[in-house]
Amino acid sequence: MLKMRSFSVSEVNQYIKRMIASDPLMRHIIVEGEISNLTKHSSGHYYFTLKDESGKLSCVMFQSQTSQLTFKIENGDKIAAVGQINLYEREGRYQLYVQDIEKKGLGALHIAFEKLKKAYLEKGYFSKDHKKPLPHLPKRIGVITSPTGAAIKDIIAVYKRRLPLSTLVIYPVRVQGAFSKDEIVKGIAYFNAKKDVDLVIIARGGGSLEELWSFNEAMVAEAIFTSKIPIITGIGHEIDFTIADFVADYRAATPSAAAEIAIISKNEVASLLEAELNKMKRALMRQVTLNQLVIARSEPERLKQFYLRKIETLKQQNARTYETMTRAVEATLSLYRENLTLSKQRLHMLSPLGTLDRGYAVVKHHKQVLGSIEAIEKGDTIEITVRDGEIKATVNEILIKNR
Amino acid sequence: MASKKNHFEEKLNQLTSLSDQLESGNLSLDEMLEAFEKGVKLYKECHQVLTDAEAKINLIMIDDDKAKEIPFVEKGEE
Repeated sequence: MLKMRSFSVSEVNQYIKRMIASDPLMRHIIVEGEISNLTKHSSGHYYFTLKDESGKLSCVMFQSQTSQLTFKIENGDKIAAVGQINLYEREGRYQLYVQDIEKKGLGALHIAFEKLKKAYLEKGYFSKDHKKPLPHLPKRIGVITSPTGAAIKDIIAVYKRRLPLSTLVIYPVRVQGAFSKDEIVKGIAYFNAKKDVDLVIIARGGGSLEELWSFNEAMVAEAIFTSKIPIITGIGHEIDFTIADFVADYRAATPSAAAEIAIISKNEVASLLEAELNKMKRALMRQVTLNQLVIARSEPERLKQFYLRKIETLKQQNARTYETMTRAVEATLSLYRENLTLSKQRLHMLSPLGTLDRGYAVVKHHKQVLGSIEAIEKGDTIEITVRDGEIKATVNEILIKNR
Repeated sequence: MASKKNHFEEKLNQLTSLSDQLESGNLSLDEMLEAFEKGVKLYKECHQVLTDAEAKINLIMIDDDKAKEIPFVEKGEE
């Protein structure tokens, strides 16, 4: 059996040290990260750790360099450190020997961002009036994004889930770095020139403010503002806002959200169509039913019955009226008859003939009614009319009536 | 291709306005039957568009200054 040679710790460390030193990148490298575990030694040497979301790197910056710093560094600061990586044999770990530091803090960029935001707000680039409405049923959707990034994967996932009506057209760009802004602008220009998409999505996965910076660039803001095709942005995470987001016609919180807004599913449209069809059917059925009722009511036999019934009713009404009238007339007639009888009796009573019947006589002298003794003398002739005839008489005596 | 989309959206809008008219009850029976016929025709046409629409993902390839649209192949797909 082959016996493996063993090495001392120093030998191993030296071996690794040589390995590291032989790599030119390790001799001069810029590392970006966040400062933590910072110790500012009294000697002037700084010891700290640079970290990112998944790793750490030990760093040391000697007094000869730290004395050159023009600013203070603290834990939490995001920096770019220039230096070389070498093995610190003593501790058996490699570390970055920092020569220079550039502050890449959120602070500086953040201030720049707020400035840009204010400027574009005042220019009216965020104005709601300028935002175009999104097409309801885009047939072709342009997507400006990295062809290999997380964003396009998310978008395609939503796309496939939805049984889509639209074609996706990907315009590949770099979503960070120096060339990113130019490529994004070229993408927007391409779709605006070709005019063969109804909607554009600009998408990018999550990242730091620096990584998203191309979406804050002036030329990108301009291109989005002047685009004739509506643009939806889906950049970073919910909390990430870029100038592009503000200028866009619609901002979605993430690339997936942008896809949800933009991509209409066949099922949605099919349901819509069904709903309209049913609406029409119902309306027609209602009208047909109504018409059937009208027709039924107008059917001849039914009409005849209807009118016969009406005539019957009228007849009955007629008969009742006739009766009533007859009775009224009868009543009036008897009343009149009574009156007549009464009048006759009265008349009879008042009539001189009636008086005669009762035994009174009418005395006349020379055909004139004799009402007083003055009008007569003894020996005159008077005519006395009684009930059944006339008596001619001579006045024998006149007697004055005592009062 | 943009015109095709316009047609579909137009058709859908026409369909909606027809169904609104029918619902309003302001049409005579003749007019209603005509509108219904038109509506059903539009419905069928729209449904056809759904059936015909293909889910496609394309990629723009830029060669010098020439742009070409080709089918997009996702990473990890054969």
